[in-house]
Amino acid sequence: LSGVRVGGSVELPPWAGASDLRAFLRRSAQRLALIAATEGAAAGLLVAVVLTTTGALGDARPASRILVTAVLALGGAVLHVLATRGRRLHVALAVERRVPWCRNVVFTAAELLDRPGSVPVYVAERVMADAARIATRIEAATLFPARRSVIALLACAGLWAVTVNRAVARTDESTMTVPATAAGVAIEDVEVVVSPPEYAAGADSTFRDPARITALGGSRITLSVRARAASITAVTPAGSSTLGREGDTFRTTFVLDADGYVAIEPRAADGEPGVRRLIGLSAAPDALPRVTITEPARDLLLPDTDRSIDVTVGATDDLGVASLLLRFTKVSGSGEQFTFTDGALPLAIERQNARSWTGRAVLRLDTLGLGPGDVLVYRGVATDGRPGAPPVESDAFIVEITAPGAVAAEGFAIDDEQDRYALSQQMIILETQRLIARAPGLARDTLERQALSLAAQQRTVRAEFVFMMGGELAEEVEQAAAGIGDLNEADHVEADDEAIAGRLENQGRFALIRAIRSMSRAYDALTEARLDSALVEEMAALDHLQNAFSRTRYILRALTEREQLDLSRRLTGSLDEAARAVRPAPVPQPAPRAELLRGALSGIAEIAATSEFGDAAAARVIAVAETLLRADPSDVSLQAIADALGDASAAMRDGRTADARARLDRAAVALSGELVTELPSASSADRPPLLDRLDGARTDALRRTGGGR
Amino acid sequence: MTVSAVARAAAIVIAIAAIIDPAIPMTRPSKPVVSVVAASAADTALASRVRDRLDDAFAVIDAPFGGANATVIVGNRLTIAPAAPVFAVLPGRTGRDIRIESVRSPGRVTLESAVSVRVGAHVTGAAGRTVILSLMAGALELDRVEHVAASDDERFDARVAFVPIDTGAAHLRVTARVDEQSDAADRLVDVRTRRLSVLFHDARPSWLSTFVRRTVERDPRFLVTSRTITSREISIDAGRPVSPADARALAVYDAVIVGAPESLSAGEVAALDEYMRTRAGAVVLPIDHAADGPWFTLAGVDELTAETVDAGVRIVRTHAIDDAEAPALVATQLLAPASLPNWVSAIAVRDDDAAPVIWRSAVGAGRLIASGALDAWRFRDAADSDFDSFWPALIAQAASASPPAVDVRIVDPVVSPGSTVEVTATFRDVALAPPISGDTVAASVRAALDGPGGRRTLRLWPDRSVGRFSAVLRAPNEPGTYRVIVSNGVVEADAALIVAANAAAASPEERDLVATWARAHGGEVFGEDRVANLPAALLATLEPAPRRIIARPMRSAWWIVPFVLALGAEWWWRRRRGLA
Repeated sequence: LSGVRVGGSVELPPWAGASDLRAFLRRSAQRLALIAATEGAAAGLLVAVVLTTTGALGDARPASRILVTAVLALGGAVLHVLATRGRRLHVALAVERRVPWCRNVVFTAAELLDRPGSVPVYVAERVMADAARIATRIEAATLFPARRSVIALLACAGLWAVTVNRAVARTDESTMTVPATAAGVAIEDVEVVVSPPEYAAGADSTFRDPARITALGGSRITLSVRARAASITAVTPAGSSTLGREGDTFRTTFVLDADGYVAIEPRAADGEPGVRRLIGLSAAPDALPRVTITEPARDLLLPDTDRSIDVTVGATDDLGVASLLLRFTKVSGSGEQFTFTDGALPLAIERQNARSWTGRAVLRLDTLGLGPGDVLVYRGVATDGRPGAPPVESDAFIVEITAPGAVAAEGFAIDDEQDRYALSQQMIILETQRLIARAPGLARDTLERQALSLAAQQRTVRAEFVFMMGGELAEEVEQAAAGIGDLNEADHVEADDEAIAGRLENQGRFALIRAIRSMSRAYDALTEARLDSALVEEMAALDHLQNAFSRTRYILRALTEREQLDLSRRLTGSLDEAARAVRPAPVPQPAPRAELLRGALSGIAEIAATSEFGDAAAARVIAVAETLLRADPSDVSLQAIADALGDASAAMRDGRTADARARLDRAAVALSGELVTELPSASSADRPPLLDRLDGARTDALRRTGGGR
Repeated sequence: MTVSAVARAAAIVIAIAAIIDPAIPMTRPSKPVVSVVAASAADTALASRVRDRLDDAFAVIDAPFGGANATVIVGNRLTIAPAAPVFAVLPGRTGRDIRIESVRSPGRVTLESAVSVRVGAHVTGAAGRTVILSLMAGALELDRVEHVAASDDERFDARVAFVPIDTGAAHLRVTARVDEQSDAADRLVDVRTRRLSVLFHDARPSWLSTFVRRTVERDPRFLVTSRTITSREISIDAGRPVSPADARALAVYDAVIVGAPESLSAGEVAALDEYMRTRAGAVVLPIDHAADGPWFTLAGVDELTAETVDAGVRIVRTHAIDDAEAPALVATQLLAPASLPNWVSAIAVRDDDAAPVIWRSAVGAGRLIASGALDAWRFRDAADSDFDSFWPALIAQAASASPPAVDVRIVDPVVSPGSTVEVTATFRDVALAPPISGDTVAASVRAALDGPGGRRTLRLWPDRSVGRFSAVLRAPNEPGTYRVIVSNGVVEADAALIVAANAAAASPEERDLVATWARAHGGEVFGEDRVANLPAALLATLEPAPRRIIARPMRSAWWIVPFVLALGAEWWWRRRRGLA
């Protein structure tokens, strides 16, 4: 028997029971197909379990995992159904194997259905009748139970669910430090329009998908973001905000005041964030004008005032010079009796271009009322177009009219270190008067700042006199000199009565101390921006100074002070009370910048260790870049590293894996280079100790024998 | 006598002779024996060609053989050549090539330090080309330097920097590339959190010692304990310092810095000496006052000369203590050895006359460093000197050389699976114990290899030196990071071992050394293209000496022929005569 086919287009003879038998065989074949499909699907699930367990599916999302599993299960079912096709074609044979008591009747009947004319009719009728009778007694479901197959399918499905759940949990843990990114939510492009401040009179610049924007401080930045997102939030130097939407474009505007970054984050309707985009910001400061006196460009010592001086002043600015003039100060008098008179001369301006001006003027000394010994200090002053920008002065030069036996004076605009020698109480008074005159036009904070500057000058003058006194306020002065403490101005004022209570009989010294007290009060008033009060005290101080120097020049320390030394305030006493001072051993902490760089490098190393990059990796790279920029937006090296990381993130998003790796490497090399400068070099000592011992033995031998010299 | 009798007799003689097996001494000319040794696996093909060339005239042995008449080394690396004369066949250079010959770096570092990795490379056939050296840690490139080859055969050194990201064994790979040619070498750097423990002891307040201490206290590589004695029984302590008079207590420190050493007592000086000898510790003397005292015996020199100069003298390094280029120190008051004995080496010298100012001498297994820049603390401004970085670097180097209680080292810590790994463990206190005749030093040793496959016990064997043990093991088959852990029952120490499938080692080319070795051993050097001349050179060197041999003629199988012929003839003759 070669087997019996079921189906086909064979015309059935009119035998009784033939249709029943055929229906029975079809049901059996269907049952076998169902079992094969179930087993195949279970095998497919088993393959999915293996792939998940071995990590072959990587960090795929749950939806992707389900899709892969469905394909595997379906494929397994189809393959197994196809593979068992022969068994179903010979279903009668399968029935005979399961039901031995059929005694091949079903098989024979099925063969007769396939080849009806092969036996006599009566034989066929008898066989068909017997087969039909048997078919009515057995059920396909009983004959071919699917229970085991279904259990296997369910078991595999359960196993798959457990493994997938664990794999997804693992993936979640590994990406815990970065926000999950919503699928389908993405920034398509970013357009940045930079509008320079009005005074710069520059044209707008447009950038598309920039990694960094460098613009003049005060520029207005307009971000236009096209994205597949429900909303977009942006972290700018001005704060965090949600961008306004116009169609598929989101916009925001802010003013670039300082270095920083913009982090743009798309969000899905359910608030789930997409991959961030990072744009570095560098605010280029508007440089101050540079002013130089090119002629005569030297100090002059003249015998009289019967002459004129040609002065040439040059000014340049990166954007444009707004004004240029010549200011002078006439200084008359001597000692503390100086009189300062300010003035200005217009210049004949020659504009080479908007950024470079040259001005010329003639100083006619005879019209300035200078006398012998007087000094004229002059300097060029220029401003640029930036609102509120302070005027910039050139180096100052002096013209001194000689007096008999006079020596040329030091310049008045001298470097910081020498300032304290040139300042005088008279100058403080003059500056205070000027500030009072300008006060109505100044903003409160500007006024306070300038008053504080004057207070510092007042304090410097006062300190000079304190030192001149030979340390009358010894403790305070010593502290200030050592940088340990500071002069306590308030206490000094309160101690006024004690200071003048009669310990000092030297009137010059007395006046000098009162002058110092007045300076202290003036200082206090200036720190609180009480200019009028300060001016009163400054003038009082000047009066006291004049008294001091007119009554007596004798201001040395008196012996009586020595007798009144407070020993309890000195390092004296019984040594029995002295004890060992114990403090904990210092534990140096790593430099914060080193920690920051190490953290960033560690983050990059983790990302680089993954075999493939995706949106999650891109988001993590952006997070690292943001950490760096947040730490120090103005650090040029960190900016470069963040830019490289931004490029790496873009390459990851675009699927350019090799490019992303190269850029990650570049960022890592730069980070490593920065970190090296923060850390001390590891010691290279790696010598076996026994070699040192050999050295020691040699040394001992040479010393013992006196050899080797 | 009939023919039959003759044949029978002949057969009997042959049989008897075969039983006797006579030995006959004789002299014959023989082929010289030549041992052909391939220096590396890459040279086996060339060695095979050499052997083919020599086969006709010589008896060639493909291995080092002490009984050979000559050795032929094939390759660029010096290998075992037990028999002289030695001939060398150097492989030809095939155009452009790059080879990493050495990779050096500290093996153990703290997390808070940057590691300078020094790479020695040899590039050929690449004049004017750019060689790129990269340092990789895992999949990430951490540093890259470029070098333009000045000639077609150039050796150069370069430095790449490694900054540890985390503690543990860092597997570094240095790659060198020129055009399509490249080479790689691995290096292991064990990153640890352990800080160098140092003690500052000032017998009186000392500005120099104070400012040195402050620089060290700011450095995260150190754990500083200090004591400044301000008066009798009065001191300012940081941590829990021990007395310098107690050598055993000092053993916890890697280095002891003694300020104002002229105030040390004789007992303290003796204890410091013992500390250096039995602990292999480092003692640093920042001298700030030229005064005599017991400390002078520590200084290691016979006489010190004090000098004061008007302008600050620049003091420059003689050794690479750190990577700085500015003068180490500046000082106006100097105390320098009148003459430097040859057991003392200068660490820093005056820039003007090269007189030593900071010097080092070995004391037992330890080391002593003394500084005669008395007022260097006055010139701490970074614009003037490297005061703030020089002292921590100097003290770190001195302290790092102080061995731990158990020092475990692996000769080549990055290996491929199945490779041979050599481990040594030195027990400091045993190794440095004073040799006392008849005294026995006991040491308990336990060792294990811990890694991905679990922990397995290692057997360490006593080495040639006292207190040193060693083991040779097979690297596990499973790649990963392993630790060899050694314990003496009190202290446990370990060393990292990385097993990587693609482990690569630096391969120094010793072409010049091989050539010199061959010429020094009576041989010649041949390039790959002159291999045909090698047999003639060998023949000219090796006189074919007659060889005295013992011949055993009856052992030849050919005797069976006459034996059978004789028996056959005797049988045939008898049959012909009708005999049975």
